Amino acid sequence: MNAKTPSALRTVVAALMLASSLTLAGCDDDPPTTPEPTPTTKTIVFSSNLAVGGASSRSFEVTRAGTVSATLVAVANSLTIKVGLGVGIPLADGSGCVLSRSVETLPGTTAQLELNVDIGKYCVQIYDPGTLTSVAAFTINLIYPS
Amino acid sequence: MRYIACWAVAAAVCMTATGCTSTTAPEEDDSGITPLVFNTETFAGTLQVAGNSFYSFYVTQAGPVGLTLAAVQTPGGAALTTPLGIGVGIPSGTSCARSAAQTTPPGLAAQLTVTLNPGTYCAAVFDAGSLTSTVNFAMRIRHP
Repeated sequence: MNAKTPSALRTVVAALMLASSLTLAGCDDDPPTTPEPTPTTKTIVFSSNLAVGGASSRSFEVTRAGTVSATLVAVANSLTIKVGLGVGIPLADGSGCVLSRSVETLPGTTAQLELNVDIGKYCVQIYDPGTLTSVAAFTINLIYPS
Repeated sequence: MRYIACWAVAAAVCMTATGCTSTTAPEEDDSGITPLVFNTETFAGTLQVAGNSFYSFYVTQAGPVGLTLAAVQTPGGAALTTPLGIGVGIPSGTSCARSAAQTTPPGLAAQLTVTLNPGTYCAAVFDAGSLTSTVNFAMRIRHP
């Protein structure tokens, strides 16, 4: 456009350009997306004493299906004592832990048990398979989905 | 020309106002949908060689029912990986007429999931041919 273009014509062109740009810019029908929450895990440290011939268990609740891992980290400050480690379901009357999987293992830094679980209540248990000669302090790390 | 210019501006305003009409479906009325409430029951017992056992449960809403053979143990409590048969059906007298079944080792994730309507059903555990001695078992039944 130049100085000779009638002002009314310039107004018309400007109005049409404005309408076009507003129409194109304003029409966004894409709904905002909600990012999915990042799956998380929970870690609990189960430490207590294991009696000779005894067992000790702790319950936990899983609120999201996933993998549970149990690591026997320490037993009686020894690296040579094998004990039993298991994961299962607690009995309804609270009287014990029914083990689904168990191993007899030395303490270590990597999980000795990993299991897929659904939502629900579970328990981890340590037991003396006949190797203890005195009460033994133990530590178990448990990681499960939350 | 000024007359035309005024109409152009008016037309521009109308185009902007009407150009962005998103058509969205009217919101559905979901007041009639009852959210599922799940109940988890534990069925534990002893299974003999060639034996079977079942547990009755009641489903209150149509929905998924999950059976988990959680544990198979020696009578002394040692965990086994022995596979057993599990199934679901309708109780009939002293037996469970199974409509779905499979053989599975124990685990902590449901091995059998079926959709059931409200009613009374049975969850069964049976020796599928793997047992050589009596075992203890524990099963979880999660149902609406």
